[in-house]
Amino acid sequence: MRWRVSVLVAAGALAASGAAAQLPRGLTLEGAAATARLRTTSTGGAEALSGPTLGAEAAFARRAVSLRVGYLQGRLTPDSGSPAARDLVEGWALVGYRPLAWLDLEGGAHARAWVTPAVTARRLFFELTARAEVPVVARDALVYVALTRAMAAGAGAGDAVLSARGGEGGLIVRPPRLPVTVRLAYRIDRTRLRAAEREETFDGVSLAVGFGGR
Amino acid sequence: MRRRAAFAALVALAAAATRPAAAQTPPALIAHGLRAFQNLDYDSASALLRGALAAPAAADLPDSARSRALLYLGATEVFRGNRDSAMAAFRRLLIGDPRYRPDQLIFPPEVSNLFAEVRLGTKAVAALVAPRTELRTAGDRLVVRLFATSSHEVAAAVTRPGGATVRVLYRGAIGDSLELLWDGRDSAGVAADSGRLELRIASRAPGVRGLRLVQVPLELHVARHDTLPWPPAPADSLLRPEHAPGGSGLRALARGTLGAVAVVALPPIVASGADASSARFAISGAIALSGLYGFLAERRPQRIPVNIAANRALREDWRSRADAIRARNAGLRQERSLVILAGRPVASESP
Repeated sequence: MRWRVSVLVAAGALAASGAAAQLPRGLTLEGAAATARLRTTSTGGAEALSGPTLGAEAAFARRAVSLRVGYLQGRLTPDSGSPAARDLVEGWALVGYRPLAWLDLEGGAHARAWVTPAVTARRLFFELTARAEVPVVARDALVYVALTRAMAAGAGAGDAVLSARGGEGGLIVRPPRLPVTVRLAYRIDRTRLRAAEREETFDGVSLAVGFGGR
Repeated sequence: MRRRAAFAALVALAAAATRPAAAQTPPALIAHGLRAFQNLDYDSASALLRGALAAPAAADLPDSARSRALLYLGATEVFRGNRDSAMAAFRRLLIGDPRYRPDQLIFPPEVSNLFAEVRLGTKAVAALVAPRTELRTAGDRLVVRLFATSSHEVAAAVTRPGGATVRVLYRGAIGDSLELLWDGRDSAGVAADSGRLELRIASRAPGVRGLRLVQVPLELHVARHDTLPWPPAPADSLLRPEHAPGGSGLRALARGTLGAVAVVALPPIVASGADASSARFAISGAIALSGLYGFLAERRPQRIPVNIAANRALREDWRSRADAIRARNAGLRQERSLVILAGRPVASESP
């Protein structure tokens, strides 16, 4: 509870600190590499897997409206024990609106699939994200924090998503006079499922390089 | 009665002797001489015209008056039967004014024919030069027009007062007239400086002894063009401030700190109790460092790009104008004009 309050206070303070982040306008293409970790707990036990992922995202922003579509995939292998290694496939399409210069609100669909030789577990989230972004070094470096909550979600046959939420924070560096952005981020989300009281916590650190959209 | 007449004559002579000196001036003597010529009193005409031409004040006579006096003197001597004297007068006339011709309605053929004979035998030129000529551009020239009594050989040169040749303008035959050009440079192509020079035209006839010379004094003045002044540099009042005072930097520090805290605090908020990746601390640290860097950067004076660009445009505009003037001044330093003042031609004859 204390942590939750502190992050909310931090996000509010970031937002209240003023200046517009001047999000990139126009078309932006971004490629990202990440180290992903999956931790699951259920009545049947716990699993820990990790592995690299690669992803790409295209974003288009005009005035206060933006559109983001992305794709990510990777293979996670067990850190210990004998859970089956699995492939991760994600895709998302989000529409954003920026009511304030430092605040973006995004909503859309986010699909995720865990693929093992035996079964493919699918998740589909209709989520809402609030994202605060402010500069820390003139306009060359920005810090952002985003909180996501699934407004509706679905799982594969015989299961249901009870809740899902996530968060992301990171640093965006825009080298002067170059149409390039470098983003360093930490991301985490948790999905609670009905079957076997399963909880999936997925987090990771990513490094992304974007082009365009100055 | 005779005594009275003799007395009256003496009084008249005394009165004539005491007439104003102005009546004895060369113009007056010429006028009397011409009247005597018309009255067919050739002896008096000869004496009066010779007196006019020999008077010290004759040097002040206009060329036209002198030429007219010499023509009438020559004609007078023709009628007096002094052919050699007539030829000498005509020759003297032609040397001074080679273009002069007697009016055939006034003078009978024996005068005109003798004049023509003398003209053919006299080798002289007259030089006509504009009193002031300015050579401003490379194409400008001093124009010298030569008029000859008759066909002969001439040599024209620009010389120093001592006679040293600066530039030979012409050496060859002249018929009726000739136009010579001088570009203000010596034989080596070097532009003349300010000073005094002479234009010398020597006439020589083959097989004839003696050299006739026409000298025209030339006074040269080199005028250099003034360079253009530099455009004034942009006044400080026109330049915008390029830097704003640095801020406290606390805003950047606060943002970095809060962002770092938020990243660290994400797992407890989103997934309490989860075994979150410790790599998030690296992200958190990077954010904190960026905040610290922002803190330090904000404390420095901040550049104002718009003002910097505006000032740069102002300075470049001034620089381009200055470059244009520098190039123009370089040209002006190379340019110069030469003013040539020509004096009165002086004709002379050497044996």
